[in-house]
Amino acid sequence: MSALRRHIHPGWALVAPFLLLVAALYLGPILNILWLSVTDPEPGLGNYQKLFESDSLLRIFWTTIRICLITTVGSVFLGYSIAYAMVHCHEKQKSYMLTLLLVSFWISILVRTFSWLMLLGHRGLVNNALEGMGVIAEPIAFMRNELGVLIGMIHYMIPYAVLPLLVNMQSLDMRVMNASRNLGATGSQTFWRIYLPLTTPGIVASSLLIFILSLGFYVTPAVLGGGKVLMIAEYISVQLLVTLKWGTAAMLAGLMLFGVLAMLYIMSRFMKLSTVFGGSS
Amino acid sequence: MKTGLFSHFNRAGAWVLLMFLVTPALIAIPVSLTPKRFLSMPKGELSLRHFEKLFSSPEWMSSFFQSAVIGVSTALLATALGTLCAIGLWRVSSKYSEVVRAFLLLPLIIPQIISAMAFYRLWIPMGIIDSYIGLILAHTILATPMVLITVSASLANFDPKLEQASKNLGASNWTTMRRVILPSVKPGVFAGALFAFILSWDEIVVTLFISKFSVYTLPRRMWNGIRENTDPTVAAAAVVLIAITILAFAFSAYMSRRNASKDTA
Amino acid sequence: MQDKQFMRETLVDGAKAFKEGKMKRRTFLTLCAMTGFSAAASFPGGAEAAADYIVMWNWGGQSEECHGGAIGKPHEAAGGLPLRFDTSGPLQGKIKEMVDSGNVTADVCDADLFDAVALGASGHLEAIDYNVVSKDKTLPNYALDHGVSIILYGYAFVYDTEAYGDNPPNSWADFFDTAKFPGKRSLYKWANGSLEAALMADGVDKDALYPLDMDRALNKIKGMKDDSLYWGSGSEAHSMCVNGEVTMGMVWQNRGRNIEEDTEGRYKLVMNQALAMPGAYIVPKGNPAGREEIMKFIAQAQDPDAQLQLLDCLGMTPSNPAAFDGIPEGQQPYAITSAMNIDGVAFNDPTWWGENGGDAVNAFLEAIS
Repeated sequence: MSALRRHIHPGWALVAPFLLLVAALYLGPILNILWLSVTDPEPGLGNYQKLFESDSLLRIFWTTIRICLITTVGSVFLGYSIAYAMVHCHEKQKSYMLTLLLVSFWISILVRTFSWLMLLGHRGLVNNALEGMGVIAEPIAFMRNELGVLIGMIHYMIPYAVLPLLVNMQSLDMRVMNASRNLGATGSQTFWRIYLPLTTPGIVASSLLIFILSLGFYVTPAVLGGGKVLMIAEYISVQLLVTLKWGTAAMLAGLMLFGVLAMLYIMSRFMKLSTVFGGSS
Repeated sequence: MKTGLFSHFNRAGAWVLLMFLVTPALIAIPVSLTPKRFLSMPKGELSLRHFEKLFSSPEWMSSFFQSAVIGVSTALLATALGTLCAIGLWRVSSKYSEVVRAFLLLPLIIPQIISAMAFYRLWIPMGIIDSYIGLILAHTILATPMVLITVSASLANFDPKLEQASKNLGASNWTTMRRVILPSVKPGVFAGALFAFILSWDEIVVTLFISKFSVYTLPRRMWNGIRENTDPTVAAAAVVLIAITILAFAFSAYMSRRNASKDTA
Repeated sequence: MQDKQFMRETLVDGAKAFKEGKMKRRTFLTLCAMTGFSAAASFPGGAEAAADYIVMWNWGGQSEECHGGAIGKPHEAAGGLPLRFDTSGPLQGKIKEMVDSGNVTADVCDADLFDAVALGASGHLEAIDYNVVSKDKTLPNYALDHGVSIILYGYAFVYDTEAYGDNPPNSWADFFDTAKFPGKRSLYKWANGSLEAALMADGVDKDALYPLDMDRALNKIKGMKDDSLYWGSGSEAHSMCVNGEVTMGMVWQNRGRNIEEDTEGRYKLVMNQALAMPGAYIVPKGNPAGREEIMKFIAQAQDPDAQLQLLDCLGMTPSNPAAFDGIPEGQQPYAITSAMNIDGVAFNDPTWWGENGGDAVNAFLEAIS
């Protein structure tokens, strides 16, 4: 026993309960799913072959990636602007801004999706207002298309984009910027040449985070896409519940998982994963 | 750095954006007050009938109750597991512990549809589909990493010498844990518990797969309402949810302020 | 497997005895512990579903009061078990999962007949007992091994009378002709009906639809993609018309009447070339109330009076030919098998859908996205 103790730190005893839980009830079935992807309905790489045989599967991939990319660029850009303003203003104003940000962070995704339905519909508030002001004659199709999905997703993702950027910007040494100004650089020169490069780790981390979160997004595309925007997550759920093709679903899940892990690896080289969630800020 | 024109402009933009983040959700408030039977903006007259319907509907009330039970159980379990785990990893502090930490954060970051698939796959043979146990277990696995993060963050500020001092003074491991370590990570534990509760309270994707009818959580009922898209009771439920979110947020802000003022005192 | 069944029965009997006060709480809990079940898990749901009720698994809505009145009441009056509902929706995947998990809590699913073909082949359903249920009390092709059609519903379309005043559309060909009839369209998101409509629009005879020519159907649908919206639930289809988002909309025919009323006659239902879909009762393998009991229930549902009541209550059309003549005047324009409509209607082939439905739905989703 004491020999064992010398090799295994007693702290592991505290880690063990959750570690075992995750290994047995989470990792286990995920490995089982990966296994399914090469055995269901028949052993072999048939499921993966479908990727090359069917244009439509590729198109679903492409739709997913396109939407994720636009969402990422949009929310990181807007998030950068918010984070920048928050770092460079008075303490009091900053705390108000943080409050708004966090409140929106915590409002249920379902409540938000519901609100967008009310706002963006054919007879929704936005269309009614625009028509009332005489800006448009016919209602604009804000939802049941990609536009609706993008609005919903970017809106949801902005707070996630802000938090890593905020952590990053707060850690910068402002004296560098002041030195640059003192040496005669203009504000915009200082921003482009010094500030932006220094915040690259934050930008990369928040981009990857948003991209990963968007990849598996289910609620918003399913509601605001109106069937016209088919992303991988919804396609997987159809395979499980309607068409009973576990093999195809497992293949897609496997690819998605692989992509996510690869991105996590890249991300871990830029930033500690835990800071991303605002836990240690 | 002097504030240039750009900064002013950007700050105004940031405020607009922050408003854009919060205000859309507020549309649920007027919609919930419509006197009509279908989803619409009220014109002139307001009515509380949909709130009345919400609070007198056994279905909605049982969903509130079930979500609360599952959320509280998840928060308790996740907080216990996550706190232990964070302290354990902190004490081990080796390169293995960092690998394990990264591994344990996976449930939080792996796309939820994959988690849903995994639970669905395993819960069927285990016979815990559509049961409290099934949902609480799944939510606990998803929420514990949150606690792990917040408690670890608190531990990062904790001076290991304090633990040593406690032991040198003759305190047992257990006493040290209870009297020295736990009190100093309390803010992290509370934050983690709150996050875990909210995660479970708001979880829909996994819930859609592993619940059927004997367990029917609030998000599940909202989801159905949204898909049906006719009944303003959903709007009333949304308003209640927003109110709960704001209360929980105010509570956590109050707690952290109190902790902060105690530290400076 | 056998053991598990035995334990469950022991437990279920125990639960009943406990409820009737014949067994002490402690004894019952011990029994539960012995068989490895938690009391909470087995008592309320399991025990009730097992013996005291027939549980119908459907999509909720008004169907509770309607099925309860039309089938449940007379069945109970004839000495059967009372009817309860699980309204979470019997998707194929969910039925399969229920049977696979060994915890079957539903006795009869209000599903589609093609579900009976798909799930019957994989062994997830009880066979229909045609000694109790009658093959003559439904349409000839709609009494299958693992499911029998009770009611019919259908895919038809409504159009905006103000948009096409003098020359109204009257066929799927008109529906798909956006040049002659400009405006937005709405189609069902899960392929059923949409594929058949596209083929009829492309000139396929309504009696020669199957096997479906997928490429031909999808091409037709893709050709109209920019002008199409897709709906997933009846209420969504309804609101697309009532809000004026579409000038022609595919709808479930039983919704047609509501749409006509809610738009004060502005939208009008066209039943010509409507696709009749056999709704079916199917029984998950190992259903708690037992096969014998549920077959009697299904036989009750075949009764013309029950079917006419469902028509009155839900707009679902009888499948029992004996009920056709009883369709009242007011329902003639809306019912599928009414004398007025029956000759213009196309009939769905559940066998084709059962065997090819999964691929068809995927191909359709991929085509419209």
